[in-house]
Amino acid sequence: MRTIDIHCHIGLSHDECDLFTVPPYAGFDRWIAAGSAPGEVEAVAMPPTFYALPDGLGDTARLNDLMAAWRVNTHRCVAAFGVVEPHHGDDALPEIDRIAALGLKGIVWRHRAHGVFADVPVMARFAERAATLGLVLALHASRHSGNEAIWRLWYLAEAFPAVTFVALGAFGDFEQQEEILNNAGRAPNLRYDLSDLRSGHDLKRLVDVLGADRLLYGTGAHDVGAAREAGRHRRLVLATPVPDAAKERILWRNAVELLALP
Amino acid sequence: MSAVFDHHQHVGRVDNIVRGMGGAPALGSAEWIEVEYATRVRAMDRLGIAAAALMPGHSYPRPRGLADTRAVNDQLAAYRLRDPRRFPAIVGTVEPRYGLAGLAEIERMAEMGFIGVSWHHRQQGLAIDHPVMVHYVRRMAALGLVPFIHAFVRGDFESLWRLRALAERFPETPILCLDSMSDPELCEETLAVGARVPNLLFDVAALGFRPAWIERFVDALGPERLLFGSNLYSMGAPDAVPELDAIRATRLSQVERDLILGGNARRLLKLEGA
Repeated sequence: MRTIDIHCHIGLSHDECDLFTVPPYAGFDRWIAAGSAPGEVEAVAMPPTFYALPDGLGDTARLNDLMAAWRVNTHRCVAAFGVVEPHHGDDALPEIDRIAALGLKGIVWRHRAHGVFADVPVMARFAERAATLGLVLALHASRHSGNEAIWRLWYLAEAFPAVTFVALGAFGDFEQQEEILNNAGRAPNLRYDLSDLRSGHDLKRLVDVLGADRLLYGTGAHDVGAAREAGRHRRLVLATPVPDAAKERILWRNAVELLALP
Repeated sequence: MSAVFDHHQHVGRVDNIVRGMGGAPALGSAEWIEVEYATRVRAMDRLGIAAAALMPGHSYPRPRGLADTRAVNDQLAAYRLRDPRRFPAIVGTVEPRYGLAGLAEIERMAEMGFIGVSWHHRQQGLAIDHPVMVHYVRRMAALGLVPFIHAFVRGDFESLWRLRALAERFPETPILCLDSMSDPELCEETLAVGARVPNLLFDVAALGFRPAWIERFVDALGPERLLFGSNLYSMGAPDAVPELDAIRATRLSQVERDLILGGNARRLLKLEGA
């Protein structure tokens, strides 16, 4: 079955928090050639979450340029996302325009790495600008980070009911998964990827309660070790006792519709 | 009774943490700073705080990266010059997300007369025990700068266990832990960590409980490792600081209270005359 991994970070190290140094422009080709080994499935590329920022917006812009180059030069990459830093404030708004102009499909945030709460007002301004440009908004929702608390994502998404958001890594913790299942009506415009999902039993409950339309296949590996095990997510979806139509939605059809992919 | 010294005052907007980032400068116009200074000094007079060490707010816009951080530190240095008697010490900051490029700013702060560097890692996007922090603290130890590290409750990247891991790597370097009294469970952890890591000192900022907890800390770790900090931000004008009232209400001796209310900070920061 066709499969699109909508949560595929590049530039992985042995620890997610290792600071990624964005290569100089002259080094893009070599870096991409070294990192673009063929993968098993189509992938939506996302930037490294922790990257060095001594030059502020300059570092972010170069990283977004790298993502655009990755998209063009990596054969299994069907789309790529960019990033903007909340600590850059409104000065980052033009970078959102540039992300759209580069042909990137969306913006991803990792508020644990940004050092701000996911629902600070500048995020609303970012979301508004990105939505106007047709960009998809993806936010990490790790349970252990108060900055990424799921209730913060709900508030942000509910402020833009016509815009589709994607929560990444929200199912890595039993308590948070229960919280989401018991609040299925919160932020109906919020989709969830399956990265960090623990079992097929959990997936069946998610399909039953949230519906397959709100679930997206994503592996979300944040380090090289997790990337080696990414294939298990696909096997887990295929083995889960849900209708084939639901598997199809989760594995690729929702992604195609969300990102307007062929 | 000696004069109260407060090592934990932020020059910055507390509302940037929950209502930022609006693109506003870390501080503000010259007029804004005038009002801020007058407000701060009035509050200190009202509360009986004789002098304070100043640090930035940690949620400030930084689209230019290191250049913005340098500007924040420069503003702090200028603020101190306005009234070095009330503000004999300044504590700067540098962003761990700058990586090793941040080392130069640590050296610059030492040359400018800063006495320490402060972090609030939850607001800075990297963990207390990240390898970058090891480089930073190693350089600071060589320069005689004191690390001021926040460990607010449920802070993820600023968890107390992470601070322990960092502090244990530098047993000869005193490290000041801020905000770890912000939750009863965390206070218990403070006592446990403090018993095992003697180079850690703690402040009472964000204290959420009664004077008896201060007495318990002193019983467990002694009066020399506890410091009064108000956690006052710009434009804050409280009529009372619960932490200050709690210290004054303890059954500790006057000598012990004086240590907590300023003696320990003056010794740590080498400000005996302040």
